[in-house]
Amino acid sequence: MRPYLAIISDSFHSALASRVLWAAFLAIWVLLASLAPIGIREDYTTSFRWFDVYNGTRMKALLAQGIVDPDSQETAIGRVANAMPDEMKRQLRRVGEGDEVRIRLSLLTNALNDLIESDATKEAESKSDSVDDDPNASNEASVDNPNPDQQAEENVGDEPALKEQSELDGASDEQDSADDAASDWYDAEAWESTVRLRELRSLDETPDEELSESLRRRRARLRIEAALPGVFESRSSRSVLLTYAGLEFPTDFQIDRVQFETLFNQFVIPILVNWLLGLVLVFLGVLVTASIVPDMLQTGSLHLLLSKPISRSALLISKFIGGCAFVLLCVSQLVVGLYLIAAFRLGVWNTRILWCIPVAVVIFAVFYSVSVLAGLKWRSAIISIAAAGALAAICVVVGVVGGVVDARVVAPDRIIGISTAGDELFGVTGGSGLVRLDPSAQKWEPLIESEAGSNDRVLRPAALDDDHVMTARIRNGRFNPFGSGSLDLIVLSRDEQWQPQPSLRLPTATERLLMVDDDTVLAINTADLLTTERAAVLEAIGVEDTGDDNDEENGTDGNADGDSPAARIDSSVGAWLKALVTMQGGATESFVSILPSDVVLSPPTRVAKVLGERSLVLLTGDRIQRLEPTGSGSKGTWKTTVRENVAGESERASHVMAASSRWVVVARGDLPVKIYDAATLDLVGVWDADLRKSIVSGTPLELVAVSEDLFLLRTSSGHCDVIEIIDSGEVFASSEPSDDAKGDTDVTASAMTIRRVARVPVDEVESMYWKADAEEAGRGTLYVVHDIDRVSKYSLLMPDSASELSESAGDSDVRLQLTKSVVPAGSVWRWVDRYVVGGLELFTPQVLQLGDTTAAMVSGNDSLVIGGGESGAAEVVRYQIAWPLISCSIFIAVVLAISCVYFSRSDY
Amino acid sequence: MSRSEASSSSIISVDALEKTYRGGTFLRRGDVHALRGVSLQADRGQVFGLLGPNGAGKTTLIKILLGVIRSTGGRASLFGLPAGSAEARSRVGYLPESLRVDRHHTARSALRFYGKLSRLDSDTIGQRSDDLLELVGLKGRDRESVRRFSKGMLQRLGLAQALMHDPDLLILDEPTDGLDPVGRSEVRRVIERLRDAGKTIFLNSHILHEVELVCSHLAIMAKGNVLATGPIAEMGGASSSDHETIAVEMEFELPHADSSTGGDSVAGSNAAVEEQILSSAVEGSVQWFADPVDLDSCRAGYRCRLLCADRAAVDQIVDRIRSADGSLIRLVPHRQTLEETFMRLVESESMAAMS
Repeated sequence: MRPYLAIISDSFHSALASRVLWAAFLAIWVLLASLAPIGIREDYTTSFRWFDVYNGTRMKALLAQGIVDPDSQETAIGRVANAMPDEMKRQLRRVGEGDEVRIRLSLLTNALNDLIESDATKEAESKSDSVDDDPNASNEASVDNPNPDQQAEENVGDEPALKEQSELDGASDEQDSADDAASDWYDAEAWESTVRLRELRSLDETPDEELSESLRRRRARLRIEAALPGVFESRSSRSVLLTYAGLEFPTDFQIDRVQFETLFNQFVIPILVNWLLGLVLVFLGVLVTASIVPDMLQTGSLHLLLSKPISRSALLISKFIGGCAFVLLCVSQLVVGLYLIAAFRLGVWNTRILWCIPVAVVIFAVFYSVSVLAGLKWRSAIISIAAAGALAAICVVVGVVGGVVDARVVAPDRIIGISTAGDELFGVTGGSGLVRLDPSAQKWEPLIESEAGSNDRVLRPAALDDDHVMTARIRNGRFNPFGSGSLDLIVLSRDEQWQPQPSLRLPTATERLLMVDDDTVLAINTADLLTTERAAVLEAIGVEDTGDDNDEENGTDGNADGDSPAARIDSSVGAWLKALVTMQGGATESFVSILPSDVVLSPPTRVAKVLGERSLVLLTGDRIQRLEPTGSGSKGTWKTTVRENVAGESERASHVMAASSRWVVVARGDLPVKIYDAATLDLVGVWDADLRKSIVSGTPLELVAVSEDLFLLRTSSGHCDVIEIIDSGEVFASSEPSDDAKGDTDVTASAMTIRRVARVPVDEVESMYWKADAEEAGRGTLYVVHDIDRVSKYSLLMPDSASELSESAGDSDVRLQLTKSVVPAGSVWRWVDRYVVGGLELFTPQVLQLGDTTAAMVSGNDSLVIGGGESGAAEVVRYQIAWPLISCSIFIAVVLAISCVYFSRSDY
Repeated sequence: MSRSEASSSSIISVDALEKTYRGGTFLRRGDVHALRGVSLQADRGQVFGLLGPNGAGKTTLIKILLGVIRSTGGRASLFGLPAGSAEARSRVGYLPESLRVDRHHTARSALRFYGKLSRLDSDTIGQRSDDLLELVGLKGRDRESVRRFSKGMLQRLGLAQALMHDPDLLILDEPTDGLDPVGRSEVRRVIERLRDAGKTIFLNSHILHEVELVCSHLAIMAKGNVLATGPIAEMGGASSSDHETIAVEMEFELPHADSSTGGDSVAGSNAAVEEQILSSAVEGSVQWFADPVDLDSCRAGYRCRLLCADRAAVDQIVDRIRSADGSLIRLVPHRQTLEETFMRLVESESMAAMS
């Protein structure tokens, strides 16, 4: 090995002698020095940003209602609305009067931020005054009146400003009164009826004197969030702010620490690797090392080397490694520098960042291998560089072509949600289309045309019966739950050859449709749960419902509970207010709210139907609750039978949930999967995140209850697993917070956990649908769409039926039996994608995709989930980890092998 | 001497070696025959010179011996091992025609690098470096970057690296090429010291004087052929060819062709004698003296320079002159210089190639 180590070292030293290298070093040091002052400051999330608003229309409508509805004047929303600047109030009043007024979100959030500011200023002033009057006043106050809310209430009660504000037209000193209103918008009594997060309840219970200014601002923000339920995205209580040399960046961009780390690991670092390392440093490396081989081939050098007792191939490979070692030095400096900056300045101690070093060296090796081959053939450093550049151009062109074809051809065909009606299979496509699998032609027949890059959102179909399917198409609804234009339920009927027919008007911002039972249709939107009858849906398309129903009973049940917001509105306000409620996502003529009056949906929200029962489990904000109907009909407010707090559920979105009659399973991002008792909603166990990932990788995307203990879990890694709730045999200690008498004390019970019992034997699962057997619980058919649009149908064989299988070997007692597989015929472009683009990608090193590999390695996740929620429209970026590395490694090996053969067989 | 006996003492053995470089285009082949059946042998302790004009195939032969290129025919061996094998190369020290040492090296680091390529350990490299730097006169400048070295210093460094692993055979390709007289003298002195130390040296050069000064044996090549090979002392003599040919300068007279005495028949007789003389010789020319001042008026004088195959051929020519009633005025055996031998061989090869 000694001669070859000497050659590697010599190549390294040769490159080290290059001036370009030292220029690169200087550039790296300057870059690191310029990045070093970057830091972060963590503080409470106090102000609103426009992107915090999840439902702007609802906010506008709520505020407008607060201004124009006399009954709302003394409510929390009324006080907030009336404390807003006059110009804003004028606009909101016009909204309330039915005018079409466009108000920029940033103006609304600025107005709310002014309220937060005024609240904090008022508190500071009152504190200052009390300190001026009596230095011990605050202490006395805290002793005398331990309830700051009560104190605040008293203060507010003394102020006449709010009444003046409510009689705005007659005010003589408008500006002063507005200022007073702005600073005294909070009233503890008014906020009593709001749904307050645990954090707010805790802050409200803390004396003002113990709150820092940041916390007071935070409290004010939470009070506004409580007054405007269902409006804001869930945000972490603390945010990070980027600073440079101690100065805050002048940006509105505020994210919490987890988001910051996700952003840093999954976007910033991969971008750095792709561009800074992959482009700049790699090509700098090629520039420096391109001359190594041509220099070696110079007569006076090569003949001497070849006269030594060394192998030609080993000589060439040693030279190659020497060049790579040189790049390793450069990249290591940069990445270690970035790692240290991230660690010491940003607090991101992520040693996985160091994976960027080998990945960058692999990227370089791809280009350098071509440079070496060109150098051997033409003995010119210039041609070597040109060859590496040509390869880069080819990679970019193939990457761009692949990306375009994927976006324009594959993505619109991808089936992202499926459902069945009888023996028919329906799918929602990535191109916002609706398709039906034509069994005779073995192809997906479009019912609503897919379109590449469409911003529309088609709801996953739900079967009304074997002959009717309902869905909805929300124009421009992909990124905005409200979309644009009117929203009608679409029904597809077998009799009409499954052609879409408009049916009832849907509540705005409807995200999901499901059947609660055979006769009740549930529409879930951003703010409410609303039901209608199946018969009404069918009647709207001119079909008489012949099924057994109890319409009369339903009719009597409807609106029976006067506490329902929709019911209240239906009975007490005029049409203009109805319009406002509709804007907020409330009831329509056909859909009636079933949400109890004390429940407000606050994103993120998840609703799961309890398997085999006519009840729902609702997870919203930091509470999980079970809803059950008060009667047997489809209308009428449901009641909350059980409610529990859940820890940290409001901090991040993208949780999935499923409920059987025994268990409720909640999975949220990469956190441990939680198991709740379905009856009591007590936390009874968790499935450790690391353990889960070692068995089922990826982020959970979909959970479906199959039987009491069996669930289906689809993850972002493209797998679908059958999991079972089992008793772990250990004692479980829960520290979930609780509102009831149990307090925050630990609850001990036998801990439940989860095990995987079977895996669907396909890797690229796009969507799944479990069609339960109506006659036998736990029996049914699993439909899995995989590899874009292929369909496989499985039967789940339970322990008693597993013995029916001949191949019963193995330790799992639940089996999946493939009963049917369909490979639909694709278009010509799909053929082009598969064979032409696929062929090109096969023979081209997947250098660009190494960014995925880096993202996966740095983040520790094999996929990235963006969005999600009830609509189920989570964008999944599935990282290609192994394939780009394999592709690049094969390419390097092949090119080096060719180079070695050429070098060994050539005369020099 | 049998083949086995020859190979036991021979360091280099080349037998009918051929090399053809493929070239040209698909439609028009342009093969170049660099070696056309070369055979030679160099024994232990010899300083073997390879002499030839540019394009003779000298460097090609060396490349084959070193394994840099592969032969297309024949066989070559070093130390009885196939030429180009790793084992053979490990016993060879090579100084290329124009040594190129990477600019980041000093003399000492370059010796360390090439020593490691020859699989020497660090201690040996250190010891050998000191000795060789002194031998080649680079001691004291061993820490300087080679960028500051003159060509002569680089060649001396090249010699040092070639000797680093104490090789059994030293192959020097144009060791003094491009050097000024002082540089040549320095390099030559080192070679002479190595020769005196008993090293086997295979030296490729087109500088006749250099070869004459340092080589004990020689092979002359042209157009891919070995034209002559042997001890240099024999290569420089008039009869020193391997076929023992004899070069002679001769003056003689024959009866003068006078018309009054039946000149036509005499003239015809003299012409026949000239032809017979030339036919007896391997090559040469016969010229009639234009100015027969010192000769008898009835006789014609001739001067000729001939290369005869052997002494009997010379005797036969003399006998023919005498039988034609001629008389021998002068016969001087001619001793060729190395340059004359070289030029004669090269020109004859060129003429043969043209014909």
